[in-house]
Amino acid sequence: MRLRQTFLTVVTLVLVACGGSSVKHHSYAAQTLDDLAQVARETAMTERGNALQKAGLAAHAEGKDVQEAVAAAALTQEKRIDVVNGFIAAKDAYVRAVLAAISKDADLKTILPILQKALTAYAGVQALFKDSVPAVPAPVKEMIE
Amino acid sequence: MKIKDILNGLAAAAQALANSSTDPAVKASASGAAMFIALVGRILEGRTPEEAKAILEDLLKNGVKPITNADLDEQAKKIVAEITGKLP
Repeated sequence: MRLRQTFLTVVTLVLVACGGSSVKHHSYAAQTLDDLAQVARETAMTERGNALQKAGLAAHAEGKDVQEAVAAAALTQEKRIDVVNGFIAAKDAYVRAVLAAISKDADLKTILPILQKALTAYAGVQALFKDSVPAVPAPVKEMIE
Repeated sequence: MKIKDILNGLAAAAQALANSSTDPAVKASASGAAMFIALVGRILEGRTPEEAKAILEDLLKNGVKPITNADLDEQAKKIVAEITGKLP
């Protein structure tokens, strides 16, 4: 009962902490956090591969150094990879927090900032890969800004 | 009460609040919170606390891992090799 009450407190705090202007309804029936992380990871690697290949092929066609062109293209992808890795780390932190709560090794209230961090990190991923991953509500993005 | 029931109950409560509130901020925030709580709740569906702990520990150990520099290097090398025709 204490677990439920504390979790309700967490949810309430989350609701109070966030702000925004629109709501979208999405179906997450078959998805878990790890599924979302997998989609984000695969999408990031696929898009990076496409960018590197495009740069490499262009260099090859122009008789330029392919390796150099691919390396330059890779640099432009670094921040995107960081965003995805940030979400994966935040996902693990959230799971770890729930695990600690279940184990009663931690106060459930500590989940709040971790949950917010995971939401924020996911919003960053969604902003990058709008067509590949489900959206989260606008307020999460506003939290970043 | 099982962990999954607690989490899903909370997710349902948050979603109900999202559906019923007239405050756009509350609606949107509740929707986001409900999503993340429900996602973990589904993982723990029908589990005892001990089973839930084991699943979460396994998820941490075997779940999706960050993209490493080795992953990135391997992808770049493969693309260069494909383009230059230097694949083994």
